[in-house]
Amino acid sequence: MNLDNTAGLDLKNVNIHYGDFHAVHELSMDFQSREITALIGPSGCGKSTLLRSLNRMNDLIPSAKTTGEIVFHGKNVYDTDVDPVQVRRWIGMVFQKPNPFPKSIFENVAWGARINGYKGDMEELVVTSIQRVALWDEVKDKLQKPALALSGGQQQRLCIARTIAVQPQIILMDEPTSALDPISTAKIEDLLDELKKSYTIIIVTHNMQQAGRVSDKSAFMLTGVLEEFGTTNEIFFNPKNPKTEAYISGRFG
Amino acid sequence: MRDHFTQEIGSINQDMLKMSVIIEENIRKACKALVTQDAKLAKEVMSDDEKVNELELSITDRCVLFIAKEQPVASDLRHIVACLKAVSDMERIGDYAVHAARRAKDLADEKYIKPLIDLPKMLTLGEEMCRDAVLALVNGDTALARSTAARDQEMDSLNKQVNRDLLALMLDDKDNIKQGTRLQFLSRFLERMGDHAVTICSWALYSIDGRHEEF
Repeated sequence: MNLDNTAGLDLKNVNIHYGDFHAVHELSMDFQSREITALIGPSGCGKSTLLRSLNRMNDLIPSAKTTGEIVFHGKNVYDTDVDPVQVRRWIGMVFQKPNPFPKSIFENVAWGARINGYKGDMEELVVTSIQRVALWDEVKDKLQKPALALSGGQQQRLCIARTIAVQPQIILMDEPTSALDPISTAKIEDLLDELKKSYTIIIVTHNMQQAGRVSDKSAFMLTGVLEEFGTTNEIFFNPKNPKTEAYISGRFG
Repeated sequence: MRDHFTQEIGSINQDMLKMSVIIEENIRKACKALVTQDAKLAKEVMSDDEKVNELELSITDRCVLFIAKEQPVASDLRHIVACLKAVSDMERIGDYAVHAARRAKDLADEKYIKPLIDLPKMLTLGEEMCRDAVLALVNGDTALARSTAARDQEMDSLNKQVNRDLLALMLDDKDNIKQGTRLQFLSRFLERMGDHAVTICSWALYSIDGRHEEF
């Protein structure tokens, strides 16, 4: 695979089942390179399931089965000759709750790169990654202190630093600010705008205003079906599907 | 879902209709004051315009607060923006009713140089256009918005007719010039009343489908 440039993802007829339960139905869409796409929809609509399928995190659930194609750099990430661990390196993930390891701030960022056999200057990688998430000024004097001593917002930015230290091309975010206060949320949102210049970002959010603020495109899902996908301007100003309008205006869901 | 949200939009719509009713009433009174040369009724219009101005400010504040607190999107957002814009046009229509009333007061003791036929027609047309434009906006009625906007041609024709008639009278006798000019100005104001109603119709269409349409 040629990984020189940040790529998008092209989904073709994706179906996801958990045992007999059909969680995502025949979903086709493309996530454009260096854009932020928001996945929105009520709880249980399949957006987190879809997000986790993009880097094969669902492989860890025994009953989960994904069919169709998720094409990254011209290759289906579910092809038998593709290593799921490698996929997760290319397509990183940030979770709802900050989950730093019980290690130092430095080690948290260095860890992923180290286990992936990073041969470059580790200190430079850690510093650059922490600077890119706008956390440097807050932690530069305590890099050897435990990451768990940081505030929730700082921990989440550290987790993003940890993700980008592995040098992924796509970052998946599953409600990355739902556990944060408005100030920390604003910092993460500013950061998203900055990260978009280098990465393709796909974010699941229940906060409609956040989707409107940060994303270039929005996809509305309902009961596992992609109901509408378009620019965020279109979705929030003049959605074509009445179900989208009812959901984003808070009239159902 | 979002009961308060829905109630507040309904309440803003009610205030838009209330403001429209006061403007329509003022136009009717101005028309009667002009035809019957009733200076007292004309003064009533001027004083009632205060209610129109107050409602314009209160609707504007409610729309701004609604955006700040409820963050409407899609058709709700377009509707609130359309109300914010249309309420200024409504206020201007109210001002033209005051202009007509002022003219009625000024001319209350003069003999008209011709029977007033088309000017009252223009006032009645302006009243109907204002009412229907606001109804189209509040009810999201595309057909009513388009048919109301189309009536502006009628208003333009009446304006031209009034100007032709007055010009002929002024050419015929220079003593008619002073009153003739005043009535020409009034006709021009009433024609503008129609233009503002058309703008409200445009905002109604914007509220419905998000497109800017010129009439």
